[in-house]
Amino acid sequence: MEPGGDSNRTLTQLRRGALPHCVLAVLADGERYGFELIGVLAEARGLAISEGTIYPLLSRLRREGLVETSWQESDSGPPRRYYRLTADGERALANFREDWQGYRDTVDELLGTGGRG
Amino acid sequence: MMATGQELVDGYLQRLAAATADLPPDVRDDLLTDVRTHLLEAQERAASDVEVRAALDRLGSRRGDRRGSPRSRGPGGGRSVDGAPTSRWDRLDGTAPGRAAPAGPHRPRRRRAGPRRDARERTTSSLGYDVTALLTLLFGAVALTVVLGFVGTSSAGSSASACCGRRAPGPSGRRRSARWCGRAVSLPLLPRARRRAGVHLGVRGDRRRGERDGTVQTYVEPGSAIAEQCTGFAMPLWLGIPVLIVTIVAAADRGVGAAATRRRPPRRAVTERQSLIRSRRAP
Repeated sequence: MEPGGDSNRTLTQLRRGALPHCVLAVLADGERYGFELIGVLAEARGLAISEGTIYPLLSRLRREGLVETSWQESDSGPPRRYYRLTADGERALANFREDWQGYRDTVDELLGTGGRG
Repeated sequence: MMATGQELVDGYLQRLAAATADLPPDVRDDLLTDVRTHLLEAQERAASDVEVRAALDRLGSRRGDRRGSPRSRGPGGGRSVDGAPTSRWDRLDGTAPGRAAPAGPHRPRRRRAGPRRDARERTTSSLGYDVTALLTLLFGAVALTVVLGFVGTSSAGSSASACCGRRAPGPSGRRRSARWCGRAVSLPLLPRARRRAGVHLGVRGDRRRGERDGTVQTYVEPGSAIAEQCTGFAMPLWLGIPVLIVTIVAAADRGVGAAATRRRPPRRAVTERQSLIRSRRAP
């Protein structure tokens, strides 16, 4: 095992679990089309996402009813599929925020990293 | 020939469509539509084919994997540091994380030096390779036949004297070549030729040595009894038959094998598809 392998695995699992809710959080600010959404997420340091990760995820969120889509013409390119939160998506995001804060506080407390930012 | 950005995108979408053939139709259509739209958008913004390539690379890779492991196998089926498949296609069909997923459009493979080739280029190259291999085989077989015939004929010639003695004039007084007279060597190894297929080698008769036409030479007495008649083989012809058979069999095998290879999906893709099917069946 390479040094730091456990740490990387933990981080990968955390990302995997949190990414759908990060997508929901970005969409909570307003509807976005795929290319734009990926641009926002790609700028978030630490998420380590790529286009190939996001589209299947969006497809799953749509099938779970957490987001909905609509096609809109674009002035500067092909028609775009816009994603927006549904009511279920907003509830799921609110629940996750609450759970995450509690989880983060607990972990921070155990790790002794609380208040360090 | 370097593929253009549009050709790369078309090839990518074709591979993606093939790699997701086992997904439910609605999921697959959604994914293909999303990726196609994304690539159109990327092409609109791209200033050059290099940027299109970069967009395709991002679609077919996971930066996290690259950071996590220097041995990351990249797109469409790479593995994370914990060894679990990290394909972007996982969980696409509700499968649990970590389960195998269908191969992505960019299956991991060893990169070769030089520009990437798209599917059409590979097909053309494959056909060219088949033709070249077949021609090489045929010419090689002919060359081998000639060489073997030459060697065999030389060997037979060296033992010609054991059978027929030195070149001697025939009954008609005309010199006959004895170089085919390799019966002592060749007959135990090769099937005996019928007279019609054999080559007349020479005759051994009552020899005389004396002056003839003003010079001293050995000659066969005209009208003497033929003590022995040697027959031999046209070795290139006879050796060519088995070589030709081997060539035809090899060429047929090559053609069938190549066709089967083209029809057979990559082993990895099959394995991953089977894993996906198993994961669907699992409760």
